[in-house]
Amino acid sequence: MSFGSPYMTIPKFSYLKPNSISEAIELLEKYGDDAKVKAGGIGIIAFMKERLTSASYLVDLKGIPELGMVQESDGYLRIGATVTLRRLEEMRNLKLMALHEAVSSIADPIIRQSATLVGDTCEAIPWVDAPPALISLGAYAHVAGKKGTRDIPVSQLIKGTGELSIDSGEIITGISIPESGGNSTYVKFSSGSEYSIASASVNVNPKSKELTIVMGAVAESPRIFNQSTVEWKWGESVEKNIRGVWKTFDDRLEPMSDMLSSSEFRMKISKMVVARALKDLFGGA
Amino acid sequence: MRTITITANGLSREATVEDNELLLNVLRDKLGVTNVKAACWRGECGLCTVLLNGLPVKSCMTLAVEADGKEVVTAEGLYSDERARKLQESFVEHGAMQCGFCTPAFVVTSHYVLSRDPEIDGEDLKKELSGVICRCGTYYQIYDAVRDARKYYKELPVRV
Repeated sequence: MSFGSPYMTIPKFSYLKPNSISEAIELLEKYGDDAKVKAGGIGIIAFMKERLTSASYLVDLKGIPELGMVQESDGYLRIGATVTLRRLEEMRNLKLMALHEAVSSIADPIIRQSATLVGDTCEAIPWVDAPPALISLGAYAHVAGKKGTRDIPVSQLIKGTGELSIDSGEIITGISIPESGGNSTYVKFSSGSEYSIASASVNVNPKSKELTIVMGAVAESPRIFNQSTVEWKWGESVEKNIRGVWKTFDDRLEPMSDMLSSSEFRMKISKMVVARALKDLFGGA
Repeated sequence: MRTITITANGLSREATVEDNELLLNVLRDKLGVTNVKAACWRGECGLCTVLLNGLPVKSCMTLAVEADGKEVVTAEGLYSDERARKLQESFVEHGAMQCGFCTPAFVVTSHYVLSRDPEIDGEDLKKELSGVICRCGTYYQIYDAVRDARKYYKELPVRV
């Protein structure tokens, strides 16, 4: 991600490749803010080239075998920190449609061969695709540090642009997504560039009548709308309900203005992508 | 500085590199593999695409130390594969280039795509090739060339 002329080099650092999570945590403890974590490397290498971030030590997680695993257990799909987007995209039995659609829309197939789901999430740039999908699906991030491990809902992980609610010395070892959820979809509008103007991830559980709408690229962190903020009348037509969602957006979405789009235009696009996503799930032209 | 070993296009080579050096620089400047091209330096254009242990990666977004002990294949390293030679002939027959700067990357990428799925067609094929950019805009010819070369990947043995 670059807005100016690119740098061809990366400032000097020492490359470290631990073989276990505990070894990685020790390195992060030892070097503190001088150390940065790398998984696929697409984000961190781009940021370091652009001099947007720097590190004296780069800790590569790819040498830790357990972080490269995808496991299904107790109704959860657990995705390790170094699992590439390409691998998730190619999982034929992936039931989580919002995740599949979000993952296969990130960058291009060659970048997806290197980039990881956890890496995309940790970039925490407004327009990244994984967070809205993960939040709508009710995903958790597993965090490991010197004090032990803890889980944070992805909805609470991203505080703002490039800001995560984890402490220095902690690493995200993976993400777990409940597979019990209902039907989901992910729609984005990116006007031909890689930066979305707005994206919508919708998850609906027809049995429990729960609806979650997560809007990406409209604010510093994804905006979440659920039963408490959106009034969805289950007997009503999709069109009528979509107008209800639009009304909620008018009152509460407050899309940001930036170099890609004005707030007004972003509102229009937000309404368009959410309508498309809802029609995908509930039917309607 | 550290010494790494890379099998570049079938030859095991040693290079002394800094931790912050990119695979692209090491291939071009230290190992003399110049058919891998450098253009955008930020993972967008795909011209630096190489096969790292058989999988396509953009070498401008890959550290040289990450390739230590691994096998790197670029377009010229595909000479031993008859299917890939036929694929390259298909590029020529279809005029799938103008300046030719992106051709090595397209050959490597389409070789990977066809070896994985020789039946690929239409939108799927276009999406699979979307990681490489041709500034001359010869996409139609590239698409035809790759589509046409599918038959070699169905018929010919894997290594000749």
